Amino acid sequence: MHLEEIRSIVNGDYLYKEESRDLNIAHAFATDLMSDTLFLIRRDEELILLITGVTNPSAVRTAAILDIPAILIVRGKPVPAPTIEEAERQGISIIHTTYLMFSTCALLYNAGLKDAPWKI
Amino acid sequence: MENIEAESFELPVKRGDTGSIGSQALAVKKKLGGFFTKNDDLRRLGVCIFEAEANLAIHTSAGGVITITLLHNAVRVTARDTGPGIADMEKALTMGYSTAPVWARELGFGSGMGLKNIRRVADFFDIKSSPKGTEVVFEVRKHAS
Repeated sequence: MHLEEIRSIVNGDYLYKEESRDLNIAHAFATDLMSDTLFLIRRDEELILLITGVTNPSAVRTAAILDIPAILIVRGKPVPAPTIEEAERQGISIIHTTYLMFSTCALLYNAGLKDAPWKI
Repeated sequence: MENIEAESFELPVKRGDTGSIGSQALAVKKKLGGFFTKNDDLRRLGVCIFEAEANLAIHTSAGGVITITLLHNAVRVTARDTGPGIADMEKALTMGYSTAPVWARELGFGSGMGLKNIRRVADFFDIKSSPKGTEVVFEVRKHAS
């Protein structure tokens, strides 16, 4: 699913869009725990969308360390400028939606996104 | 490996510098991009350093230092601090057990997964702790592509 389609489904806005890559994303991982996100390793090179309500720059760095190319921030939370600046530095797109996480996940699951591979 | 300036280098991590958590891990990942041939190995190293960095920023009295050493077929990382040490190592290595303060949890950290993740992901893991400080050593090895 292309990033633009994801943005459209959640009626979101780009806070930053990395223009150098045409992202085709098949998997998503939704959490407010960056510690849980860091369990997303040992995988093929499939592209993953991180869905979260965490808005600080560490969320972007967590995505970057895992080669996650896009973040969808839910609940309409204001995103501080340092987070957007970090996204620009790391080349990670950020979409912002007012939907809650539950609804966001339901919409994207029904549209075809699947779970990212996660194992405890 | 042209971008690697030395076989060993140190990265300071300040206590409570939550706005920077992950910065050192990303810097190392960028610096050592040519060392590994598999992306997964580089990701594993980045994740382990990220976890160590978060632990130093959240759980120590005065921060600490991460030392990166390049070996022939692996990267060895040592994270040292000066206390207060881990009171119950068994619990600290139990999934989900955490002593992290509320402010760390609000940032998305401190769910009790960090040390366990390093032990799970790294090819070698060792930890020693006393009230004078904690030393975590781990290695991530190169795998053929």
